[in-house]
Amino acid sequence: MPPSNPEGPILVVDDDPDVREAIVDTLQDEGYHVVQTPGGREALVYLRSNPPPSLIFLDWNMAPMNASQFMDEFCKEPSFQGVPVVLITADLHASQKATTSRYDGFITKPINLDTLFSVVERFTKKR
Amino acid sequence: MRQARYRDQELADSIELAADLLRTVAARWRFRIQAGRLGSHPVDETMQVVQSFEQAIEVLTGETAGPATRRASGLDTNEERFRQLVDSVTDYAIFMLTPEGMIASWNAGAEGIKGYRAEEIIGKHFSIFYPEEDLAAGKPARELEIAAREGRYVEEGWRVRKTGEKFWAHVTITALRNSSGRLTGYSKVTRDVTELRNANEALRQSEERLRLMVEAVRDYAIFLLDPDGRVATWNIGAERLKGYKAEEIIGKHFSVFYPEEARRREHPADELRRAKAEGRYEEEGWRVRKDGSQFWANVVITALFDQEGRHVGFTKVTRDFTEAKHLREAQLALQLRDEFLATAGHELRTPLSALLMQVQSLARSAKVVDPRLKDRLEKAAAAGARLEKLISQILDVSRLNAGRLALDRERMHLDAVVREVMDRFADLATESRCPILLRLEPVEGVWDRVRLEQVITNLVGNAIKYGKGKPVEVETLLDGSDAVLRVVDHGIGIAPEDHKRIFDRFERARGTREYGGFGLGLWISRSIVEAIGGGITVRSTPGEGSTFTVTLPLRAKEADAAKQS
Repeated sequence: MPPSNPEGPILVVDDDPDVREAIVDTLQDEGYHVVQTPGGREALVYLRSNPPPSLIFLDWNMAPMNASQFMDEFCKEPSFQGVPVVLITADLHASQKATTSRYDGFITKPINLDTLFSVVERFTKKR
Repeated sequence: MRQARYRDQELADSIELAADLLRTVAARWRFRIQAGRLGSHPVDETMQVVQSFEQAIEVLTGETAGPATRRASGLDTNEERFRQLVDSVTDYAIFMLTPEGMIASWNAGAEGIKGYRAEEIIGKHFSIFYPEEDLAAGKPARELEIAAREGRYVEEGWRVRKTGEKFWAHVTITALRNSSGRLTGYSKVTRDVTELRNANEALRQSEERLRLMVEAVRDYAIFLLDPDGRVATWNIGAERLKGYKAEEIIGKHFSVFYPEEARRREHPADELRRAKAEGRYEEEGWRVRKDGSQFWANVVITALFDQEGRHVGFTKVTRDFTEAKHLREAQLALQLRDEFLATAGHELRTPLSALLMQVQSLARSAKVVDPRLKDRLEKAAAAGARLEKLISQILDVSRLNAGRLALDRERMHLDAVVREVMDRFADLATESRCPILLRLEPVEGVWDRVRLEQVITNLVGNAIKYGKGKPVEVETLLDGSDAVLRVVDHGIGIAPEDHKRIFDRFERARGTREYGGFGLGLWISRSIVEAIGGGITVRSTPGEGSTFTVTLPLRAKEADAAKQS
């Protein structure tokens, strides 16, 4: 297991700008360093040219590249190994989706702040 | 010499008559062979008989056509041959009558059909073969009269055997005259056609029954068109559906049933063309009644061909599908509504989720800056959370309506699920000063955790909402092969007449103003429980409280989706 980078920023990947910015604002208010991309492709571009983030929040239902397709690409790159990915989904049955696959956790929409912070605290150090 | 000539002439007449008879018989049997109407007679043997008849005709007529000397010399042989021939015919009674109607000869066929032997019948009057009512009406004498006047009398009618039994006879009486035109007697050929008549009668009756049946069908217009499309028959269903009486419509062209627009583009003729080409044409479309009103019809036109393949017309069956069409349209509208609800719910939820998060996050930061702001923001967040719940319900309803409620089956403890939900209710229960008493027996089964939580949340939420601050009891227990969840409150209760209604959509026992919400909670709970394969019931006394009991099989049923109406 390659070392994760708890010092790194939190990457928020969501194609809905309102939801994405709400997460970014909330986490920034709490004192975290947050970066964002509007989709999976942009996230891959970011990851290839920057130091690894401490955590990726990944929206499930995005177009044109959904979470699953993003993970297909993500898992191919050895340098991304060890970066935790947490799924954000409106699906009530997300627990099954997350445990049977490649994610390190999930949070359901509407996002409960306590849940969000407890997930973040597991992987990231505040600045 | 005169004697001889006379004798000769009489013989010639007889021979001619015999040849005629044989020709009739042979031709008739040939026809039956060709038409395949032989009944139980074997083809080969029948053909042999026909051929021997035809040979006999040749022999007879060949001889008579020859010179007078040869005729005279072969006389005895020919007469004998002819006699034998007639004698051997068994399917036909062939015999001679004197001008007075006395029986003068008798063959094997006559004996077979009528039952008399030659010696007991020759010399008797032929009226013995007729039923009493015919005798009373003077029929036998009249028949001879007609035969004498016109040469021949042919009929079918009842005759009587020696046993008294009646049979249906085909009768030919031919008048016999000598060269001077004097009546010398009659030949009578009788055939027993009872079976044929019975078969025809059965066919006729069956056709009649079919006709009566078609005429009596009330819900379908069933009628025939001639090859040009003119109405040829009409039934009660057609009268009911289209408003015309048989006498007003028969003979009219069927295009009167079509709207002007369809007539203009020659649609009726086109339908007939296609039915004729493809055997059948079916469509749904608007048709016009006599009073001008329109109905949505299902129409099947079938081309009719006779045995030789000639096109003889069409059958047309029309049904009124107006209601079915409206029903389909209503169903489509419902489906569109549910699709809209699903899309709208989903689309509303995303920005709401962003809004809620911003408000909650702000309330959190404001805690430090300004406690009053925090309070207001938390109220905004609570309102947002309520909106979120309502949208979730809309989504659930649209899923349940579309039968798209997928169940995620996993093993769990019902009591543990209840305990988890109760933890979430702790704040609300304290706030409404409603103590919750748990009596949880361990019950294990395979259900859908999220959906089960929804049911528990709804029932306990209702119990607190309508519980007037009195204790709420939640029980789990195993009852035989069922898991039971019971939620009991001691609040306002539900009137008996409302017990069924509260499980319906948009229903609640109390007015909307007093208690908020869509009134969908119990309907969703019932739908979920039924999708799992269980049931939900209520027992309640107004003023004393309510008990909701959910019964679940220990394994959620495997049906792929809940089929809700």
